[in-house]
Amino acid sequence: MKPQTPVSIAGMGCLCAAGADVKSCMGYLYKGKRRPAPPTAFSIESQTSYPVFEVPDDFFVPNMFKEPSMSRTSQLLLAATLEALDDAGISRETIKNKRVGVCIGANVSGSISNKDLGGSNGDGAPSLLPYERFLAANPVYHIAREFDASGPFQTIVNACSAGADAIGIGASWIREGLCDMVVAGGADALYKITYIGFISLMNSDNEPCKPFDAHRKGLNLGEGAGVMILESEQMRRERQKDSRAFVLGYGSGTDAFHFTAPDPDGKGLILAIEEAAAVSGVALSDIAFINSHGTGTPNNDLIESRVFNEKLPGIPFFSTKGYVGHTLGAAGAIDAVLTVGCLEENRIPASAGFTAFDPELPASPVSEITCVNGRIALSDTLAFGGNNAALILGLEGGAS
Amino acid sequence: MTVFIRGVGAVGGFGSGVDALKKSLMTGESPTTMTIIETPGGPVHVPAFLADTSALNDFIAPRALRRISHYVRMALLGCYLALEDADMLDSRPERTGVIVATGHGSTCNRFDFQTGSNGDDDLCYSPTQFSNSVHNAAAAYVSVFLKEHGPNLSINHFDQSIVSAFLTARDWIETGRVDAVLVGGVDEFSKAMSLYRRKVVESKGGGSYLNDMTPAVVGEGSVFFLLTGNGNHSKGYGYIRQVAMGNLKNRKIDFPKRTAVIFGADGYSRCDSLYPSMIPENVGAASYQHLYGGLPVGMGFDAAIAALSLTAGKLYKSSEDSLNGLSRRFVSSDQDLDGGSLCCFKLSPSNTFGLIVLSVDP
Repeated sequence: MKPQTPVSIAGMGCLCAAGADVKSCMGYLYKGKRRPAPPTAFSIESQTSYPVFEVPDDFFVPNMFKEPSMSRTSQLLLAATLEALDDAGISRETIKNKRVGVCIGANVSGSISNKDLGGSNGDGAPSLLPYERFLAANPVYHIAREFDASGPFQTIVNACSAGADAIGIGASWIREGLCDMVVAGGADALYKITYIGFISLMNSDNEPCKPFDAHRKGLNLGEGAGVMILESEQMRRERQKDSRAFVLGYGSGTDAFHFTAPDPDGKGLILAIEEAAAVSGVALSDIAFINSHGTGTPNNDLIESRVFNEKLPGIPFFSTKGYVGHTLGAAGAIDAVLTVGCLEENRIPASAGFTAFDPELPASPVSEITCVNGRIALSDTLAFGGNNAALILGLEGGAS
Repeated sequence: MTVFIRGVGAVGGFGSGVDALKKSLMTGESPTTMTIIETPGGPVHVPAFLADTSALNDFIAPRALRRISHYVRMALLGCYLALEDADMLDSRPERTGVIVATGHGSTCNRFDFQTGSNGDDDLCYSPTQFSNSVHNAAAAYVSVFLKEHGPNLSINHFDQSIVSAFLTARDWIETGRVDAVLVGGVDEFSKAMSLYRRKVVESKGGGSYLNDMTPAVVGEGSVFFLLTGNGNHSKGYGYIRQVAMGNLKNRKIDFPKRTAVIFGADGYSRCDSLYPSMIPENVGAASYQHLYGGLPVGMGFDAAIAALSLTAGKLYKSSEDSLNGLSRRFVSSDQDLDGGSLCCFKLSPSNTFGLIVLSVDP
């Protein structure tokens, strides 16, 4: 396995229930408040309501979107991308003759809803237009068209780890010399289908979620987007700009245990963490903190706790799901952005929803804002289907 | 490090396995099935290339497949056939990655699931149907059944899914992340997309975006490749020499000098009319959608046919329909390959191109 050279993160963007941009999101996390609520984007015929973390409409800049038919997932992604490019100081002119790739994680490539097609057989649609909109709804292509990106392009649908995988793969495109710049991240909007689907799997909590808590009983869904602008060293030098942070290492592993249940021994997660550490040259003991996946489901949190206790004992960790919800394909990317934010602040927020220690869990998250020393952190995600991803992020381009 | 094709597995309207694909290449035919789609306006008859996955029982006990959808079964069968073709059913390289590309995901499940969402009690859903509709279902099941713990990726990028998958597969091998990659694609017959394609044909007065060329019959299937890096290549098909994808507006397409092009026009995309101007003047051109159908991962079948062609030393006879502007160059009968390479070329309405170049030599 070749060591992975650090890849520069030139800028970041984030839009989720916690805030309309990275700064707002970070501020929200440290306030320790959260506002899950029943969904407003769709109605459900049921007596039980399950809270979600929706992005308020006033988080979007008015008239931001040229194509009114753009899917909400694409809107979230574009908003975060615009912030990331601005943060990086990169204009459309800057990238005019550059090789720009787009690698995004999401739940699905196109629109998830076929309602415009007039039902499952699609014969209610009077014309080709709804179908063509459906086929053109890929969020990667919206970004590619918006910025005339040259490619390559990839939409990763690795469920909950998709956003983290996209950042890892985007970084590999920079290392392999395929691109000068990559728009990498994840985006997902709230949909009725996934809302109901997770309830049917009995994975959702009808109260605000409590990651790692003794009384946790499931997740709350959320929506949002997290984007990193990854840049080659050559382009960075040409622009004479400092990096905001670095992708030091990326690893992934598969449980291969069961389609819907994670491996109780956390085999895939351990493989992911070990690979990320090996290729980055980072000793796990140098990790300042962990931004966990921490969904609030009994199994996920138990497995992560066991793995952290075994592989990263004593290293503080937290979950963002109590603040932003589980944003599915966006989760790994939003967490990566917030991880860099925490490194810059030298502190991590309290793990929202955690109040009672679970004696079954060998490790528990922080319950208050905690100062951290160190320039390197780990962000991990566990996904439906047994995918696991780990990103090691740092403020400097070396291993320590 | 070069990337070598050790094994190919394919299942579609032509049957299952490379021998079935080769037979349909030689005869120029694949059987269609007439499907009946119930719509508010009455039943609609749609011919389709459908895949039979019964051969999967040779690899996995039927009991273990009870809750597995047709979409996942196709993917599993493609993978097992590729491993069998590579003589790797019983032992694989220690680090093997899995990459599954799909254009529409498990569409039938997804759309049927959505029909259920209009009921009185929205919360009465099938959790099995929901979980099987998740787009990484196929890749996840492949890993579960093969007990493969290596990196696992699902890509959903419509008709550029295959080239995007090959890009990452090549990267994983060349960087030494894995010793082998099981990479391929799967797409399922979709009622909604079938009716869309029917509407395209109606809107073109019975024709297609390929002018005189008859649009392809809707297809489903899966095709997988077992790729490895440098090694003892006593058995296999050839090398992946180049993988490229990008924006037509600002990326130059580098076709090799001695080559022929298998292009992925199926008649349903507006960009299909661009092929004549994009394919170099002095190269032969062929298309094979008449054997596997129109589906987003069709480029994978083109790559499989390219692999078979390299092994046979000839490019098989193309579809009999002619494409305006390309008819002079259409491979109208089996044609000897003059060494060199074969390009699989796909254009998309999003102004994107995909190119996979296979060759006998690295």
